[in-house]
Amino acid sequence: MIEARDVGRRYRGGWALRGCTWEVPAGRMAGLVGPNGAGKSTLLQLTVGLLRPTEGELRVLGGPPAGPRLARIGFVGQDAPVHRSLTVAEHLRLGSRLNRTWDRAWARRRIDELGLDPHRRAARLSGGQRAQLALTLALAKRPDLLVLDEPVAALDPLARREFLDSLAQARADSGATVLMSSHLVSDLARDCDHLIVLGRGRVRAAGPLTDLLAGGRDLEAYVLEQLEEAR
Amino acid sequence: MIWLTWRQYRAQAWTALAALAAACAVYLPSGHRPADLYAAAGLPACADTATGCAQAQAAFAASLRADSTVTALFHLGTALLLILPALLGMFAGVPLVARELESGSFRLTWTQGVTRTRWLTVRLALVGASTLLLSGLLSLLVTRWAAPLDRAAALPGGDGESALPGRFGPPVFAAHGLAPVGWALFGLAVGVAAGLLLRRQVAAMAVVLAVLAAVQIAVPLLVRAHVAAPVRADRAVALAPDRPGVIRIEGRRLYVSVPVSAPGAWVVSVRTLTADGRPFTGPAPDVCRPDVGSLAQCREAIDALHLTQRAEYQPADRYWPFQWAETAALALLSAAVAAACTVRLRRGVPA
Repeated sequence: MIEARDVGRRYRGGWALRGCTWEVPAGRMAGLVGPNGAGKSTLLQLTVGLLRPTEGELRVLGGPPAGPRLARIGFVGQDAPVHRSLTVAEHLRLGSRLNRTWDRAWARRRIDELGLDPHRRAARLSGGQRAQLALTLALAKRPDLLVLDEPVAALDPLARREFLDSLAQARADSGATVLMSSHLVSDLARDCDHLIVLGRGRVRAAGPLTDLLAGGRDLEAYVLEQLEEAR
Repeated sequence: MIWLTWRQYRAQAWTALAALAAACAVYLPSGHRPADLYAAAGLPACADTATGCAQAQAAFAASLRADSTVTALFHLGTALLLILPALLGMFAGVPLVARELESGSFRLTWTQGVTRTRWLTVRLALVGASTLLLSGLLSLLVTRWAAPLDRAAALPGGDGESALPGRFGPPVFAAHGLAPVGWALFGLAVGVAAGLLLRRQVAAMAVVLAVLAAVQIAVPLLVRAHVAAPVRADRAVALAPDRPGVIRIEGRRLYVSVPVSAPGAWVVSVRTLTADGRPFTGPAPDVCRPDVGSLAQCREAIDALHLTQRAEYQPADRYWPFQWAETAALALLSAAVAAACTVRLRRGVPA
């Protein structure tokens, strides 16, 4: 599903990512964990084609993330970006206009179930509602791969649980592969079955959770151990 | 894509339509006034038979001085079309990419089924076509309204003393005819590029304003004057009581000039030369001092210096070639800037 070989990305200030080799097999729910500034957003933006790698090769759904392949990737960016001046209904219209595959009826129904007012402007939604709207937009295009960048970081505990429940439900319904980042291990511990640990721009550990935690180790303790070594 | 572009630009679109309607309301009903002044002054006869031109031009200049509305509308139209490129750059060009970058919503828009190259191409095409239409219609409106005034300035007999600037000179050249379209496209392109590079809308708007002001001042001085080698005309400085001429004395310096007779031309430079071809700046003959001699004696003394006035100008028949050249160059430059923006966007934008 996703294969990265020696991927690096340099900004003007220096390397944000270097020599990253990792993969996410199809059907997995992968967690990307690491402290702030570890390069998580950069890695995810490379995966969805917002950035191009400076070096190395990244294959998503069988090729570089560009062109028509992007239609099969759903993305929820950090802080759930939406168009502040557009209403909820206009966001659904945007999705249907900009995507060839778009499940209009499903998107409608989900907005109803969430209790979102279709005529409300996105700027006036709460953080939890905005995150749910962004997730709806990403799911309604029926993606084969769903990528989420710190989707729950800004949410209160209740909204956080609701969001993770929605995500788990959607994944069970669609069978999409998921890659989700967080700086909190507890967010990922619940549903993920695959893990990538990122520290200071390098992959510190990657693999199925059952392999990484062989011997009954605690996830939180394992991640901390990996990041300590990275220092 | 078309819907999204419209949705994000509808405020600008309504503003532009309202501005166009207001301009029509001002310039269409008053369209007969410049034509009436032109006819009443007797300029049609001057245009047809080249007779009575001096008299007709004097009458026309006097009636323009009396009719402040026509003069004000002429200057208003010029000002409107000169600031149009900056307005389009700031309010249509800058938000085209920078609004998404600044708000972070590019992470939503550019991860849909439409690639960002296509997203940008469609937006550039739609906003560019609207810019073309708006600037074209406004220029047509103002140019048609001012046509009698422009025609009068290009008829003989005015001797450069007309009440309004001609269409070939710097302030009006970029505000009448085709050039406003080229400038509007250029303003838009500068806005898009500034927004893409700076990523902040207010900063980009300030840059657009500064860049356009600088370019609009620099182009007439450094580029337009040299598109074709100017025509040089030498004329002896011969002052006579019944002919207009200017004598100005400042300390040791003497400035003397006679009218340049090149109707409808853009006079690029006027210099006074001595009999052996060097620039002349003085000193003034003694009899020109107010307490020494009369004006007639001063004139005679200046004539005796055998000065030559050398004028360099772009003749009137180069107006349309210059308009086409400037518009085409600006349109090509704008297309190049837009293409560079597309390439830059393909490479990706770090968040």
